[in-house]
Amino acid sequence: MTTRNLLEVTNLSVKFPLLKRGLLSKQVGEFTAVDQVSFEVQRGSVLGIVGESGSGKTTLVRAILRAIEPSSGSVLFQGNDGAVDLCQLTHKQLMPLRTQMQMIFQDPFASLNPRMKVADIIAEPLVIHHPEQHLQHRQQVIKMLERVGLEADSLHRFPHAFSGGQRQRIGIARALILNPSLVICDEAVSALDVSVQAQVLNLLADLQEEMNLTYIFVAHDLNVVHHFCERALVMYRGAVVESGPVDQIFTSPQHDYTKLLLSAIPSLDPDIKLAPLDRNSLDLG
Amino acid sequence: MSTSTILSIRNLSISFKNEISEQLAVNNINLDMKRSQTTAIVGESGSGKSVTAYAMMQLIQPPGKITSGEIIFSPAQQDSFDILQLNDNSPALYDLRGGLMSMIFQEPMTALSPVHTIGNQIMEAILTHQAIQKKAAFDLAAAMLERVGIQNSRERMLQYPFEFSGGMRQRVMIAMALVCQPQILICDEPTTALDVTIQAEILALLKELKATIDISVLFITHDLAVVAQIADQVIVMNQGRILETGSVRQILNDPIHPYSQGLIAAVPGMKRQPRLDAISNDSTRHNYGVHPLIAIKGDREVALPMPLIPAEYQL
Repeated sequence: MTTRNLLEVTNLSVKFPLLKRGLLSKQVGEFTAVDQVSFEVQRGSVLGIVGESGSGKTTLVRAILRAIEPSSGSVLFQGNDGAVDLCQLTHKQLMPLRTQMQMIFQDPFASLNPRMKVADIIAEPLVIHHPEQHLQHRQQVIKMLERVGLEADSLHRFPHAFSGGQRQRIGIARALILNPSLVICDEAVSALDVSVQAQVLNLLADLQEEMNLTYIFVAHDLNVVHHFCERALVMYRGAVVESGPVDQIFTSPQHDYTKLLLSAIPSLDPDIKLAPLDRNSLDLG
Repeated sequence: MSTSTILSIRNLSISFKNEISEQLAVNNINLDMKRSQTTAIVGESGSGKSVTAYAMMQLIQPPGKITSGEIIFSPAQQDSFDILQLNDNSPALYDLRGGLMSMIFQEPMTALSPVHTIGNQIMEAILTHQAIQKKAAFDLAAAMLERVGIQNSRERMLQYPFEFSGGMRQRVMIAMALVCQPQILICDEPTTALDVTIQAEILALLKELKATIDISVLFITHDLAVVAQIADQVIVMNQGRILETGSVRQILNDPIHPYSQGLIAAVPGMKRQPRLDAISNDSTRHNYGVHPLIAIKGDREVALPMPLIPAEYQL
């Protein structure tokens, strides 16, 4: 593994058992949600993963973090103490590495505990990973709040007092407080309005520069991926059907599924009519 | 009132009140919906676009309250009347909701009942508004499902919402909304929860239906690209006020109000740019000021003081 790559994923597969209904359910088959996916992510870059719902994007990124157990394959992560295969480690061995990889979730309403104050939400990763430094937690939280553009008086409020965009900022603060190197954004801006989405995207870009972050950015909005990412993977039914620099994917898509996705983007110009390709006429494999 | 206007809102204000403060969700707005056209209301969340639509069907729940205004509805072959004057229990209101006017919601998962079959839910709409036999209602509902692109409609009628995908559920919602042949269809962010490919399919379906049925559509969204594809007239709302109105080409190609310009600039485009021009945050958002709508050239309106309107647009 070269040190330029922060993450190297090789032949990663995730299979879910299909169970027969009933009390004594027994396995009758397997569903392959992620099928032999390989890619690498360079340090300091942004990799986009696009695909429609059910294409396996979320399962893939969760398997990378071992939030879902992968069935086979390897995930080489260039940690602070050298490269390790995340798939080979026990959960106990994974714990110290988890500080270096964090996740930002899609739904800013569901991903924040409504009974916790903002200060406690953002400090929770610190409490878990650095309990011995508890005297400094408050200071770090205040600094982080400022960094993501929230007022210091947010500390003692509950999530319900914030708008969607502000909640997403709280989620970002929680993900970044441990100073991770890899941040996975799972549809982080999909639930937001365009103008708020623009603010959050700008914030993510600023933070990437300041904190030298590497993003894996999952989205179904191709315009957002085109704007935000350098390289992208296109997923369809669990497999990567196309990958490469974003500009190349957008200007000369090779796979029929990519073409279908691109043809479905509505144009801002009322005179360019939406003419999506017909799914049935394409060779989607 | 001219017959080219199917619905006309005059001086509508809606307030939400709690113990501490009163918030005007809709602040003295005036708008006209043209018959057989698609009018789009765009704005961020909290701009009052959905509340306006809910008021059209008298669906504002306490603590929300319509404090002033009238909504004049002129259905074809009927006298025009003020929707807000209708009593809560009046038969005319039942006729209106789902009969003359119906609505498609953003979340097809929450808008459908999980414990009733699709068929039952569509038939309920028919049986509420038409005096026909159950058997005939079943046939009508099945035909409507076919019409919105759901195959094997007779078997699908007996299935529950969880057996349908997101796009299919939205098709069911459209069938349910159109089955009583309403004159106004309100679409409240119908494609926001959908993937881009499914969104394209639903937009194509709505356009195709619009071309074959004579219906006036009110389309609520924050996605300007969707507006570009489907709308004839556009109304830009912010903070409960209308900031600009005009045709879809006028607003998207040549916006005058700085807020409309900001909304368009915030869309991540196909051209790559280092940063998006986000509309500034809450503190400066109010700085557009409160101005009345002024009619300008090209049959459009903008809420700006006269000196800020470019001279070539002034009447």
